[in-house]
Amino acid sequence: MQTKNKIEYSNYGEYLVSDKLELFLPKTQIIIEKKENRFSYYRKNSENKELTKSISGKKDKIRIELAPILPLNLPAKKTKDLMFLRLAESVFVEKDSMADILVEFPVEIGIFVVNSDNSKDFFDCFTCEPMHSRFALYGTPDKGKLCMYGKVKLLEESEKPEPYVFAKMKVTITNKLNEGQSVGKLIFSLTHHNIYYLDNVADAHIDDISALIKKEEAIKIIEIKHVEYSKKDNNWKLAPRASIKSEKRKFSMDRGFD
Amino acid sequence: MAFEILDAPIMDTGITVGRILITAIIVFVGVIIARIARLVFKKRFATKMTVDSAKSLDKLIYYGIIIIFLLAATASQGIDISGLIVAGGFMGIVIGFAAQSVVSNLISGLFLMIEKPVKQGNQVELPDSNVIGTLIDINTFSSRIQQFDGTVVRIPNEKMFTSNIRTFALSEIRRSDVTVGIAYKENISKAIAVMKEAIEKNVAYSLMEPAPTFWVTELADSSVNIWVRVWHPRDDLVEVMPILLTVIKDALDKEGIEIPFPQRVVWKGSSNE
Repeated sequence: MQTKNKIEYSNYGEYLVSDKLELFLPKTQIIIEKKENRFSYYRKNSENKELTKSISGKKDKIRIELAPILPLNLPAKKTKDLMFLRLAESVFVEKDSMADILVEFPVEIGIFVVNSDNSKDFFDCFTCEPMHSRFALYGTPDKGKLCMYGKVKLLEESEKPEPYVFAKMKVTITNKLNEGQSVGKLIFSLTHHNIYYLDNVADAHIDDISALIKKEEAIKIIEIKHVEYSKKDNNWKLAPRASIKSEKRKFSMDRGFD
Repeated sequence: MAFEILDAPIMDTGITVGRILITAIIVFVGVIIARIARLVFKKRFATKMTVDSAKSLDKLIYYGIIIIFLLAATASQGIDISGLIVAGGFMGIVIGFAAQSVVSNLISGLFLMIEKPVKQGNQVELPDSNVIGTLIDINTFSSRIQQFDGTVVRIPNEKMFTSNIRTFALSEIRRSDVTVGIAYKENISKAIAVMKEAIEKNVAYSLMEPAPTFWVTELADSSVNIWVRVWHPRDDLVEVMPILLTVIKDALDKEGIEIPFPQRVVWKGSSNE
């Protein structure tokens, strides 16, 4: 049954709409239909929440792209940049060692209108799993930073994350301390990350991160940096962006990481 | 002949009409320059600053330039304003008594701009005045707060400065609390688990960390009261509070956990007693 559902879901990628297009994603249905002078856009989710919009213009056809985007928009745009990943199981990194782990990374789905010059305009976004569009605070209530939140599982190399809900991300943790450390959460700047997708299997991968555990002024911190996804080949397509890149490329977790 | 009037002294002060006119022209030019400076500042620099800092600096630039031109104009025309100051001193005392509250508001406004206990756009509460809303701006004599029903309250700066101000501006999040009563027969742990799950699932703005907390606060007359504390982004009270109790009640109803209403058992003694 699960396999059957997977096959029925629409894939990421570009679609040419001339008359009517129906897209089916987990818990979400989208219908784009040609009207007299416009294309109507209708989206319905599992909670029966409906959205209707129009794409104006007298064109006979429009091109749209369905792609995974950074999870910064839902339930509302509150934080510009920070992501809080809570690992379902914490990772113990031995002293003076390095560990590579693969984790799920929650994504939102974006709909982009593709212009005649191939530029893409952000049109709509939604999530196939509303439970993953949540907030968390890193730090104490008086000084903490509001972040987007995702509770994620560790993945095996061959394991694929749940399509339309998660992308895959590699985390390289280096422990420079003289003692082992448990890492239960990762907080980092997000807007520099690109997401890549495979359109025939709805698979997505986001840029990686490197986490360096070290001591700074007697406080144990993790310095997290953005690392470009290196394993991508020509089959991986770069997803369009729905958010502006920030200046920050690294974030120091100085308020605990267990 | 027509220009002779310009040399005519005003009373015995030695100040001529011409000097007054030139002074007025210089001040007028100063006002124009101040307005240009203000415009340049707004377009070039204010966009890179916080709104309240930009507003304060804007006023400082505008009035500063005008005062500099006024002093330069009087000095260049040999008008000695020390006499005016002395004369004004007496008038100042008279006016000061008459306009005590106006001056007080002005000074308070200056202190509010310097101290910045709250900033434009912050949600503030003045418990003494029973005013809650968003601070629109702090002006020369008064501050304006837009309440959540859309009405705008003008508060004299003196009152604003001397009032207790409650604000959430220093933190990115805030906490909202509700109390829920369950029947004595119910399992408290189960009720808490049901409420926690329902909040996490249905209240999208409720923070996952720190997670909602549940304290049994009272063994009351009719119910066991549980204090539910939910953290959420600072400005999203209206996204949480209106649905929080609905979500909790629906979840408890679904699980068959009773929320009792106040009731009293009246024991009617039997005839044997």
